[in-house]
Amino acid sequence: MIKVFLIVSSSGKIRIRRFYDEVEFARQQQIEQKLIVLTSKLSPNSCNFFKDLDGIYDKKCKIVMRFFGTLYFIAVIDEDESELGVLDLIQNIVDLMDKIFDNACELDVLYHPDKMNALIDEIIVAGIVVETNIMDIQEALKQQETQIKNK
Amino acid sequence: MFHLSQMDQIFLKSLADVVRTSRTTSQYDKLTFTTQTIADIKNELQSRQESVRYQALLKLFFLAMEGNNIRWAEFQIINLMGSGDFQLKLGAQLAAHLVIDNQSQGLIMVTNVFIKEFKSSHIECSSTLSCLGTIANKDLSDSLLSHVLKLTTNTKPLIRKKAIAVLSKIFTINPLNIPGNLEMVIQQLQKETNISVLACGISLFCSIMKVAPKLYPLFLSIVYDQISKQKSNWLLIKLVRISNKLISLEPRFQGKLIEHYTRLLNQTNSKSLQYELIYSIMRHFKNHSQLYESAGDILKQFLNHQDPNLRCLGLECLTHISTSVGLMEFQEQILESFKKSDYFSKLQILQLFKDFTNQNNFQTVIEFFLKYSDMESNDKIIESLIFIITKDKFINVDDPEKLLLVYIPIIAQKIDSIDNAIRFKELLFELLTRVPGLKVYSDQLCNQILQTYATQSDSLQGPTLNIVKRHTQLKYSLNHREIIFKSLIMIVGESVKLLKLEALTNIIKFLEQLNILNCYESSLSDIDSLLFKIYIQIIKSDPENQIIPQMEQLIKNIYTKLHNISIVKISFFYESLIQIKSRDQLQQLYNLFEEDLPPINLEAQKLIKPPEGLDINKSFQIDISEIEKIKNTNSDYIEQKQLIQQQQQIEQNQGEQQDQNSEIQIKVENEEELKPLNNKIDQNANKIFIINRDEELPPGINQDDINKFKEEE
Repeated sequence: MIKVFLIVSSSGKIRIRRFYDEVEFARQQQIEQKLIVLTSKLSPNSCNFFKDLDGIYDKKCKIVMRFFGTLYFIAVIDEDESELGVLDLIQNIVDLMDKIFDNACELDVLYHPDKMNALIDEIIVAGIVVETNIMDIQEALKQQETQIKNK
Repeated sequence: MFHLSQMDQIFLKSLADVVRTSRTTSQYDKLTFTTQTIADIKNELQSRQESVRYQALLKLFFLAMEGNNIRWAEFQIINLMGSGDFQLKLGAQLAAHLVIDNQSQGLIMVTNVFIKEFKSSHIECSSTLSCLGTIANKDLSDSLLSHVLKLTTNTKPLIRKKAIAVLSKIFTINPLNIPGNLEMVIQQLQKETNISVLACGISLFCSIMKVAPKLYPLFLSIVYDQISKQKSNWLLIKLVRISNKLISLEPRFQGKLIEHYTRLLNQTNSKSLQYELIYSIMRHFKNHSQLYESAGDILKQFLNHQDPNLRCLGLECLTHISTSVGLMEFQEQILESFKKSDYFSKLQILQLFKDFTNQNNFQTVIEFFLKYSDMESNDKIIESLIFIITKDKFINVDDPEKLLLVYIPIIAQKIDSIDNAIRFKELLFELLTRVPGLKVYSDQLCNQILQTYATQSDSLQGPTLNIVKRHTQLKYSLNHREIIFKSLIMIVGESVKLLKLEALTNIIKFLEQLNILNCYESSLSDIDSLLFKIYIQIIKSDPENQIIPQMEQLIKNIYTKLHNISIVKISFFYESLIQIKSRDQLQQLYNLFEEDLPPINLEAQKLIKPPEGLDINKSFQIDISEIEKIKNTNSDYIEQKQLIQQQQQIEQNQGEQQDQNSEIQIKVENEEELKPLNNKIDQNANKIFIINRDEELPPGINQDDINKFKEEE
């Protein structure tokens, strides 16, 4: 299960925030701050996942991080989720963003929070990855757009 | 789609406007800007224009990402969820997780809204299920359970998979909902062909195993069924993961999986599936040598792989080789990979060695990590090394002498954080308590560590007091250098009786350096008490007064440099001088204490009234002539006392000499008898330091003594 999913800019601003377990607002901010600090340790040759030894969320969980352009994609996962699977998932999200926004960048995430959240809701529901096929997800999003236009 | 009227376009601030204004607003005006924006949004959310309300919703997203609490908008968002317009409804459902939590009162209103949406088109139903998955609480789950269960039989796989995902949340929140309902879901999954739906089903089983593990027999067959026929890597990964948990609950399941694991291991090229398989095999299939060996070969490939992620996963697998003998095979590879690993992989390797270091590889491990520590991971390396040394009461340490004289000084030099300095201090104290014989080396240790502090110019720069923010208060905290300095001073102070004169004089000469006294201002009282202990020891061990004058001069130099001399310490100092030294020697130090004592500060009298008849403005000292009279009578008394003491000592010495002479005679007689036996004993036996691992026993007390005492009782 995915416990937390964040998209953070390289300047430390949160662009997308999803907590899939019940966490208090104050604690959410604490967790976000500590995860943002960890992004500074990520380098092109470093490993993309590591154990949450400091107990930022939970010592039994792992933190998966990936950097694309100016955005950090951060996921906190428990022992039921595959680390390489989540890395693939992040790659899929980025590919979908490219298809929806035509060469996506940070500003697209900033100015279209509704589309970004809709995209993530098609992939992760209640912390569980429900779909990884890009075509199926795109199809579902297109159907939503059609429904909106046909109002 | 929303089209804004011309008037709206003029006055309405879009999300882009708000973002632009936020970026150009200074920090001081941020609060005003945020307050104004929130006021605008509150107005806009009540507008009749759907376009205006939608813009307000988008701005709410932005405010939430900026860190503002937007829970005040809960009612408005719930209201929007019941809107007739799909875009507005969808937007509200996507924003729901930002405003609604477990305790929200408004969730009751959502129930009917959701029930209505579940009966609508599959697109609306799908977005509603996603929203429910985020905001569900106990009451909402109980009221909507039956509706969600119906949706698991929907014709669209999109609805079925989301319904199963939501069910996992419902069952986790309230496990009482599981019995009766789970069987229905399993029956449907047995007929299911869509991979996404099956994957959600496996995730559902994983969630159930956390809250009700005893229900595992219900889904054992479906998991086995899918492993034997499934070809999708994504689903197989989930199946292998859940199989790990099932094997630990039902060991017989392991036998059934051997054939399928062997097939999958040979066929698959997917690294993620390979990793899951070798992880499972390393953990549960140690008795099956062929499978274990093939997994071991793939594990070696992972450890040598160029991709740091795969190397990291390989290290993860190694944590499940339970014996350190098994780890020794891979030790060289792991240490080699440490040199080129990133920060996170290094942490993982350190964790591995924390668990698996033993006496055999202790030296190799310590020397390697001390050699290859870098700035980024230094802190964690030192923490891990201290853990390895102190683990299970120094169980890994077979040569405490080498540890103290070789490794500990190097570790001390590399420490650069307060937490590690405190751990280092505790390590030193524990080691010297458990091996009291090592105290003889305390001066050597002190010199080795403190000499580097004295010569490294950067370690003597800057204050050793840090201002640290604890919660909202600023507090002073010693930095790592001072913590180590204080602990070394204390250890030397405790070991003063065991040290030679030369060692003690070297310590005093070291402390006399002005830069040391200026740098470690917070430790001046510790230096003070150490000097006192050293001085007393020197007096006892130098009866011929050869070194004492030189030492006194050094100590006097230090005291003149120290700014805060404690009066109590000086009085003790003076008392011991009177007892031990002659009058001439006392005269030399008279000048130190020549000054008048200062009068009582008037401020001190505010709360306590002085006794009646006492004039606080009068000086303490009465008449100098009076003092001289008292002195003379005292000095006569002191002289007489000394004469008496000298006579007593002479008599004592005579008595002792007689005893010694008789002893020597007896010894000579015995030695002639013991000569043939003594020749067999090795006169130059090596020193052996044994670590006392008894729990909470002070040194010098044996467990045997305690047992004897208990038996007697």
